[in-house]
Amino acid sequence: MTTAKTSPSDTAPAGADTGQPLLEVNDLVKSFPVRGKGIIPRTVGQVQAVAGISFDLRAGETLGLVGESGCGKSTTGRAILQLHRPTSGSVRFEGRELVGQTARQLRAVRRDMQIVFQDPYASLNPRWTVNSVVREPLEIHHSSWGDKRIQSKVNNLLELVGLNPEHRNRFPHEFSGGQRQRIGIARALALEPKLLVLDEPVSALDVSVQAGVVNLLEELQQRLNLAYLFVAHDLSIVRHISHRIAVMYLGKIVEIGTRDEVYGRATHPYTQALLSAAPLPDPKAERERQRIVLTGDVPSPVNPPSGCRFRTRCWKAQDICASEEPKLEARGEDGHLSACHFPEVRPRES
Amino acid sequence: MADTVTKTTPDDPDTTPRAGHEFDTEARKQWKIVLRRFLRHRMAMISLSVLVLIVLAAIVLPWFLQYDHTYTGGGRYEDPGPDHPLGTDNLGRDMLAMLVRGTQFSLLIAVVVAAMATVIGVTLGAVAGLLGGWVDTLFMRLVDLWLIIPQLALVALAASAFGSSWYLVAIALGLFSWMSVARINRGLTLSLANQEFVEAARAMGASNTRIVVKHILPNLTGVITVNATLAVATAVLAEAALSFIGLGVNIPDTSLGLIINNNYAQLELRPWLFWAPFLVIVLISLTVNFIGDGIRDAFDPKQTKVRA
Amino acid sequence: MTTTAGDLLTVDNLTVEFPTDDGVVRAVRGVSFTLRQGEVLGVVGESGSGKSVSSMAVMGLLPRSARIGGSIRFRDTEIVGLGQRQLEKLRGNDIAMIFQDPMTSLNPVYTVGWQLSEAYRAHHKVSKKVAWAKAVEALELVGIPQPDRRAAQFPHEFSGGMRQRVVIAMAIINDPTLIIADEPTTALDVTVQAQVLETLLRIRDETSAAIMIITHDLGVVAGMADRVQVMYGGTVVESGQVDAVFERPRMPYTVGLLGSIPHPDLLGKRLTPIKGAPPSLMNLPPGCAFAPRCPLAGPECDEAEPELVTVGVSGHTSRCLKWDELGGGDDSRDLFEHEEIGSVENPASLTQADPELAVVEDAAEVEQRMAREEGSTP
Ligand SMILES: Nc1ncnc2c1ncn2[C@@H]1O[C@H](COP(=O)(O)OP(=O)(O)OP(=O)(O)O)[C@@H](O)[C@H]1O
Ligand SMILES: Nc1ncnc2c1ncn2[C@@H]1O[C@H](COP(=O)(O)OP(=O)(O)OP(=O)(O)O)[C@@H](O)[C@H]1O
Ligand code: SF4
Ligand SMILES: [Mg+2]
Ligand SMILES: [Mg+2]
Repeated sequence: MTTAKTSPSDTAPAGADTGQPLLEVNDLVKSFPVRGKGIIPRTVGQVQAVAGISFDLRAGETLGLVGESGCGKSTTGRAILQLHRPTSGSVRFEGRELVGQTARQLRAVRRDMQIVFQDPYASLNPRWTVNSVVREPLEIHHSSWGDKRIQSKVNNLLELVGLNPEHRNRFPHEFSGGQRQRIGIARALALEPKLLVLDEPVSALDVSVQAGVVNLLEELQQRLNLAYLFVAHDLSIVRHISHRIAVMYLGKIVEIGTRDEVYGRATHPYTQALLSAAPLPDPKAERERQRIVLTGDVPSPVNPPSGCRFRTRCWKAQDICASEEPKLEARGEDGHLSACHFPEVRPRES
Repeated sequence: MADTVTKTTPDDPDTTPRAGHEFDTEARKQWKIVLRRFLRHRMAMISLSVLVLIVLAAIVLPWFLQYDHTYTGGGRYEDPGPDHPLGTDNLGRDMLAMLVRGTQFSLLIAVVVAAMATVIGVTLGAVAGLLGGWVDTLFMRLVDLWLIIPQLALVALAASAFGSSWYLVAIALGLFSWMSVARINRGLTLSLANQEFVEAARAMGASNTRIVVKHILPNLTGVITVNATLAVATAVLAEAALSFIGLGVNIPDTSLGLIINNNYAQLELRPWLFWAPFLVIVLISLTVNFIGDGIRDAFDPKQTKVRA
Repeated sequence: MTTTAGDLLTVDNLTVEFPTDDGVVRAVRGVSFTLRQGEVLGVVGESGSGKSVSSMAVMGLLPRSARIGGSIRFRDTEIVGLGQRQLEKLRGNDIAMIFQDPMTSLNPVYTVGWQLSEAYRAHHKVSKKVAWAKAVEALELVGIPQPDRRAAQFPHEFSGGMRQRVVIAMAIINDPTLIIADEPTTALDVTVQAQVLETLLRIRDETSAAIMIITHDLGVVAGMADRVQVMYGGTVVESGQVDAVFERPRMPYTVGLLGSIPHPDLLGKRLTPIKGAPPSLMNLPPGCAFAPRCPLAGPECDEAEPELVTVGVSGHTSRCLKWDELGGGDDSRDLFEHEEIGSVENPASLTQADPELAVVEDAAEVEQRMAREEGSTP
């Protein structure tokens, strides 16, 4: 298994030190049991939601994670934070192995790694006011602060994400989708963690508020040297915020590289298809946009295709794609990592 | 490190929103909001007053009554009159004094049983549901085991060992009424524990205790109160059954169930002997029920009934 | 507002208020629009501006605490004040809604297939088996792989995007004539998003259903909607044909919105959000709701809320007193000190489709070839 270590990049974050990465993920696997039908459901197989992925993340760096819905992005985030116990592999945070630690041991580390969940409604306790929701992490980790200080911090956080003071005593169901999402962001920022997993943090925000939140994240990153794992479907936002980008397909990373490498010189057919599918906020250009249409069913993660997992939908596939799994390794001219037997930069029209 | 997060948009006087539209509200504590919602629940407040009155009456009335429950000097089945407002029973005891004494014991028993059933059932259920795995299996086997133990025999055994008294009955009843509560709460906790807000709490470093107390329990208040209310009603009746076979409260003490049991034969001839204790039982059950509703609604922000 | 033939939905002066402990939230104020058969209306706007609440009002799904005013007519039925039973008949059958948060419409304790077949059985008298088959079919339609196995799973076993597709399947299972989609594709990757939007448009073409799509993705609006309606502070501030609004926005908020989109020239720089905070819906500014943040605002803007006035051809309207200072091309673009509005990054151009490789037929052929090969070399 090849590991996708950081390649030297022109867009390396300003504050990144050259020492040890903040987060090292090696060969991470997470599978879920599949139950059969019947009165007493039995386990009949395993879904490999994450099928052996490796990457590094340095302090002050943002890694964008994109890929098809259901390819295992959220599961990756959860497995890193040990919310789902990984099936195998290793996750090292500041040099410390997290896999296999007890819940109690993990609690201390949690202060330094936080997550913004994808579904803002589901991740807020329906019986708690927003104020209590944002207070919670502070009450857990800074109980010595005292009520006044915690509350002023909470007020500050709510203001940062653009929620009015009048919102404080309301319950999650009394908010709009975007407001809920910002509650989740405020909660995750409360502890000023070193690592923040952002699972679709801005999907429900209008572009103006979104721009505000993205600016906020970038500013915090510069000031506090935070590392972000930024999962999103909006490719232009990912491009704006990420230093490096990893593209996942069916539980595996198929391409990883700096922003310019992935957006400008993608070599994996899936990455190319994904980039071509992004809609444009300009009616004329949007109508003329050509996109690569992927046909064929999305294969099941229970029973992934042999060899390259993308081959059932790939227009370049040859025999070798079925027989041999393409390794994630340096391919093409600039040497960023890609897992395709036939890596090729597509000619760009300008 | 603390408080380093500050306002991001520069306070450029030209671009910051013009003042005058700010609308500040005080952040309220969670429990204060719940309390406030409860206090605004009309039925619950009425019921609470009635229940408080009943409890007060049960405690205070004995000081003012002419006879107490040990008195047996009246005639057999005297009709209500100035001397005995509710008449007397077959042993010549003053019915009003009996009723007051019975209410005391029934309330005591009901409270103990409901509290035990709720505390044991909810704790075991929530812990089993949250931890899962072998803890869950163990607890649920315990429930199965507990269900097949013949409880009457055990109570009888305990009664012969320690002597029969109200608290023995209460504890015995409590020990045998938590199983269904545990089962229901386990199931609900299991599905709550899978939800993302519990995961979010865990991600923030919340301990299991915190998760149960602050996240799971508030979401269980609905079932908890329904079950506690049911437990109160069943406890009053179950105690009556036990008293009937001589395992409950002993003469000269009494309970509402016992009074009904003693007097239901008089339903045709002297209906008040039956209806008076019956009415008190109904009142207690009803008020407890409404208070339960109030608690449930107060905890559930989606209930808009209490908002003006 | 007059009703003409072909009008499916007519919303007139809709207001929604929520009384809360801290005051009255005026979530929707004076919203009016019509939707014709087969038309796609895109609704965009500030987060918290009342987009979801107004669509919930159309569905009759607002919480009981809400105070609703104005009128909503679906065909000949007045929805405001309609009884629960009649509403239920409309909902799911004639009008279907796709919610913003998938988990609000999925029950965590039932399997996905069960929930879908119940939705079908609520309006069709068929056996459970037939309904289940229909459920699997609907899952297939929205592109869920292995729909038969997936139908037997619970919502929490689905990824975020798959949950959303289940909700879409539930909405279209009864062939509705009006589909209200509240951010239907925010949880989906762009390839699946394209697939789902195509599904919606195909249903529109087949049944000439009208679609009201609420989204923050201006690209989705650009590609799919006929008309667009921009909301701010609980009311409509601009509406019109998509091309007109995107090309010549006549309301400063729309200009700011379009200018907040990430742009390749801004890489490594800060984005340009609209400065200031959204208005408090409990204590709205006296005049134009956008005035406190508006670079054009003058004293007249604070006097009274501007009316929605016609500013161009084919029903382009704007709620701005100074609309004619905008849309004149260049000068309006540096309003918020932005890069050019509209010339947004085009990831597609980075991988301009190579005609020889990327056409659909080729891919299908490859598939067939793969199938043959798989047969010979297992
Ligand atoms: N708790 C679970 N039990 C069983 N299967 C699961 C569970 N959680 C996720 N999966 C499966 O794992 C796969 C990956 O899910 P994941 O949520 O990581 O996808 P994702 O990449 O985040 O997709 P999306 O972009 O749609 O959110 C999916 O096939 C999903 O059904
Ligand atoms: N039950 C409620 N009680 C009080 N206020 C509410 C309630 N429901 C919604 N609101 C408020 O009404 C406003 C409009 O909400 P709505 O959900 O329509 O916003 P939206 O335009 O859909 O935003 P988003 O794009 O973020 O989803 C918001 O400010 C919200 O806080
Ligand atoms: S390895 Fe083969 S099937 Fe996979 S992406 Fe490359 S060409 Fe396509
Ligand atoms: Mg996800
Ligand atoms: Mg909304």
